[in-house]
Amino acid sequence: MNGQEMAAETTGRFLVTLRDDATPDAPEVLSRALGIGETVKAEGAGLTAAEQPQDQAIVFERLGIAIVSAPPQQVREMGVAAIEDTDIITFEPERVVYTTETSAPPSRHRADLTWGLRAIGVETTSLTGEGIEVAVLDTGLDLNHPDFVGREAASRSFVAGEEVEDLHSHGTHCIGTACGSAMEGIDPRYGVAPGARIFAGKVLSNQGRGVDTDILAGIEAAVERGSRVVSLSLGARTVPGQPHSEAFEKAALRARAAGTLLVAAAGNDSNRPNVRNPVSHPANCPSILAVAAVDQDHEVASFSNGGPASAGGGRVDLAAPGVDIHSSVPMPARYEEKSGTSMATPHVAGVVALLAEANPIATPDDLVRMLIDNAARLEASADDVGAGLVQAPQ
Amino acid sequence: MKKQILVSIDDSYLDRIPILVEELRGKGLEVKHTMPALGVVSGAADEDTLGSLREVKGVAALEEERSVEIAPPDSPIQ
Repeated sequence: MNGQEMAAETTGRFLVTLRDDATPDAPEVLSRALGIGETVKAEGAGLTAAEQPQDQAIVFERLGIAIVSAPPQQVREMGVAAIEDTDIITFEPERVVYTTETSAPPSRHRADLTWGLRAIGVETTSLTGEGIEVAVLDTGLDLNHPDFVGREAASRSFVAGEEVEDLHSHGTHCIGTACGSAMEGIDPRYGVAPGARIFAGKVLSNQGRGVDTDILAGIEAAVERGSRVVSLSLGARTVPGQPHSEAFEKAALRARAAGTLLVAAAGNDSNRPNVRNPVSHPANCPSILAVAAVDQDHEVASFSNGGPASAGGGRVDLAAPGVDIHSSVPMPARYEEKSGTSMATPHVAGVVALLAEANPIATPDDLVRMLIDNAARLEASADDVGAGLVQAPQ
Repeated sequence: MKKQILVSIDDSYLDRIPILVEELRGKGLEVKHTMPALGVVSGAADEDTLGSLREVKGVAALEEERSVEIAPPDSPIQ
């Protein structure tokens, strides 16, 4: 226990964590170790400290946790007894927690969220990416899409002879996932950072093709504008042993030094379980975060690239939802489900915006550490999902 | 036969990019785009000039430009 925890406000009750296989015997364990007279199930029990009799324990069977009260003079003795009992893992003071919201949440109907947003914890965060610019370099944006009306957005085409207008649909879909709005009537909500400023850079033609120079020009513009994150749902296939691009690696390092983090799609060239291809260019650069795709069961998508760096490929850094992703597409269709590591990448870019909002002075390296530390570990190999499923800060 | 190339500039030459770009031009690079914030210059050059471009002081690396492609809008995987 560190000093900060010691200082936290506590209730006088204690949390007892039971070993998994000891949970069904909770009454016996608590009686033997702590002298608890009666153990009741949390369901139906009065849960406030005032309502709990001194020698009664309330047990959450599914969590394997019991709440007990201990008179101050017995705390030490009970703590020692608990630690010495092999069926008890921890004995810790119950803390008082408060919400971090500064104003009451709206009581009106709340829109449902896409499975992807729920999987990364967007439902419970109050962060929106307010004041943070997210650059999405792709096929552009449907500038007249009703879901983006009133949004603060800048756009620029880096493709010779083509306007920003997205005649493909990929760009509008990716921007929707990273920055889609949360206004009433959008149901389900599909955008991770609805408060972010959008920079829609068109670096892929309406046919979905682009070249390195135009992508770099887009990155350069994002860096100069002060975008905190650049989302790159694009890539070129690589072969095992192929070195990463020196130009993109240097560009990514310099962008990071200037305050801009690059995230890119790991690529869709695999056909699991038989074929697993290495991470695409430019996601295979060490200083660009490579994002793999998982499905609703949090399993690696069959198409998602990966594999051990020792096999001569880039490393996957994180995973994000990338199968059956509902988001915006140009009118008149308005919405569509798409799958790919292209859909996973903007989930991460959106989370970067939330992190940057919550940590205004964090550097890109700090943000990377937070992304990695907060990620939910997955059963899949780190070769395929990196640190795990990206999670929104709460 | 002209090749589309990317030239990465060494950290210690980032403050002299315009001079470096002039030198690259002199060695046959048709400069398309200079990106000072990233330290990358793109352009086209004859294959037989690549060796001399690579030798210019301040050039960290020289590589051929790639093209990237995403699937058509109606493709199941993008």
